[in-house]
Amino acid sequence: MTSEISMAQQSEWSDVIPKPEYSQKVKIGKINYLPQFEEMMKYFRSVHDNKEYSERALNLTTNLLKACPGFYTGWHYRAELLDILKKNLDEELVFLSSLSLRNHKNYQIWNYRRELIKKIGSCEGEIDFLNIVLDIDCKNIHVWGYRQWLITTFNLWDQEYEYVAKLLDEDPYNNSAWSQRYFLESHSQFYKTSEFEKKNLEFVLEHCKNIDNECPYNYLKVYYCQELKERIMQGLVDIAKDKGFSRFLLQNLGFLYEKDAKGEMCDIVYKKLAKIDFMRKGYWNWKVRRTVRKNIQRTDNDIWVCRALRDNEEYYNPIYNYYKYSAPQ
Amino acid sequence: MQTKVENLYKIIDLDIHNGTYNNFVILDKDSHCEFSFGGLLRLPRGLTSLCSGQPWLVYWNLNSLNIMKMPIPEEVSSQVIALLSECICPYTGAFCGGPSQDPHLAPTYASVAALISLNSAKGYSIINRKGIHDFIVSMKHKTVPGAFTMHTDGESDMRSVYCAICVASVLNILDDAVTKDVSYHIANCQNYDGGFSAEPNGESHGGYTFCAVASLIMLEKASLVDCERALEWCLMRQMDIEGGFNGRPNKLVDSCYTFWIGAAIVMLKDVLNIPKEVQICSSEALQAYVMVACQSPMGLFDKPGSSPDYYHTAYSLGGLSFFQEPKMFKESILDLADIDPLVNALKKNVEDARKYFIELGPI
Repeated sequence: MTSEISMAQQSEWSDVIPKPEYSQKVKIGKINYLPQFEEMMKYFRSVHDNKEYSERALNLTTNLLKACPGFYTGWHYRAELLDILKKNLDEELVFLSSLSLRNHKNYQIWNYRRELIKKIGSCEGEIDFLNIVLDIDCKNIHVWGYRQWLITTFNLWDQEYEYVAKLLDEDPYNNSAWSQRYFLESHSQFYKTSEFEKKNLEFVLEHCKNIDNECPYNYLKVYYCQELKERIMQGLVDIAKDKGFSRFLLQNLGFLYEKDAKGEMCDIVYKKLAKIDFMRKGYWNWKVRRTVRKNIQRTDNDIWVCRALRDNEEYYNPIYNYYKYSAPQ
Repeated sequence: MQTKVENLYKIIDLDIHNGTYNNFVILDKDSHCEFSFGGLLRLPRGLTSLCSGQPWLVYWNLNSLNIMKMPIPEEVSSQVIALLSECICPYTGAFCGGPSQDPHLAPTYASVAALISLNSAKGYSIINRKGIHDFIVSMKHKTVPGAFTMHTDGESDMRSVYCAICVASVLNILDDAVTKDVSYHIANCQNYDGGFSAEPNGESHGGYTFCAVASLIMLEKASLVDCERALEWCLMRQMDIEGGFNGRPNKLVDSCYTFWIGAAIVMLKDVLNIPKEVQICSSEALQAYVMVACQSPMGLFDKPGSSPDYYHTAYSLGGLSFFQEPKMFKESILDLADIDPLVNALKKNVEDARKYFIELGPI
């Protein structure tokens, strides 16, 4: 609120008849607004209904949006006002940024920012600004959406690799960073080329050593193809030998076996999941029932998995759904 | 958060991984009804930020009361209709966040869902089907085929797709002008992990996944996406210790996903022809999370340490209505009404509404 004096007493507004929110007919469901806010809204409705494009209307949106940054009508009206009054858009960006730091989980401000940056035509300082906001909350889905739009619009791909690598280094459990990594990878000119895929797969397998981290295990499925499936299987078996099985690791084994139609192996893996993964046991049992068990030629890895899942004593840690493997004799 | 919830369970000697629990835990419906009913009558100052989404408040509270089988008095019902009538945009016929605001797809959905919750001819009569149809078509994205903006120059994401398709489907105005390219756009938003994001390339999210799955089913286009992977992603959201769902991998548990993820699971289970009697996630653990960790003396909240609000009350109850059996707490009678997972309103009312608008014929 910029002024302590009621708007009704300001000569600037004397020609406007404030408009109440509801008619007399509506008696319930109203918000108990602060009187100053309610008054501003009454004047807003009046000038907005009259499509008044004036300096005072712009100031009114400034005050209203500070009090209520989700007020989409105010933002849209403000964008029109800036156009018509030919306002300096760089100043507008400063105003918007100051609001954004306090209200970063908000659809309206990030959409308004897209529209504003489109008009300004430059993304100078934007990435630095986003890094600050992501420092406050590195999983803010609105900021990531805006960041992807910015990168695509202004071709900012190159510098983003480093940023995502830094985030994953700081916290490999950050799914937003993994998602951004896929965004970069899938837009690379090398996407789905052999060497590129191989290199990236090794990076993901390295992260799969955190067997309680869902993110790299979800990501692993990106690389499933004829050429790489053996490497994925070998990677998983190596990790299991070292760290044991988690429900994420087992789910990926099941995925590979299903793709290869190795029904017998699916059966073993899903039965184990049904045993250790309490929340989803009904689902895994459904998968067991659906599996067509046919005998297959087992690889050495398959034989190892069978023995590890069938024969060994279990160590069950409910926090990670661990199934700790101890080497068969 | 995990330790916080775990300690709550420990205090009352509850093991959510182990069958039923014999001590006394109830869902305090009387108090939650009082909370939701109060929210229909007057709203506290703290909700000022929702002045641009007033139909939502009405809808959440009506839906909560309906789920708890609390009848809505005739007087309240006609007052709600009067309030929503004044939220209608005089130029387009679509609903706005409040009087004299711009028409917007989200309050249009919320208003229609609120009127379905009332299920009266008087309420349905304020709906301008032709106006809403033309507004939805005018919100089609100029550069992204199949997407919708929420309002003129507004944001575009999976919520706007859902609001547009759900409203058009129930009001029987789902024609080619509305549906063109929509299912392909939704399919473009399915990610490598099976979940759906707001826009193509984004991060999978429980809310957007609900919006995508429900929209595809209403468009009869679920076969365009990998439903089994979507289901598996949803099932992975149930947390081992807390028992509730989170909305994204490695994020915190939140009771509102009991609906968003829960409804997606119910819908996908149906699409994949998994028999009804198969329990693919743990209903008991969901009951434990909502009833032990998220109840305040009046209303429900997202996670321990938060204050109750109308949104989390409606969505945790709505979710719970899908997962009432088998029981975690033997003594507790939940007796929550059946919800239509596509629309998120009483099943019976949605059926009536669909019939009503089919009888009105094409626009």
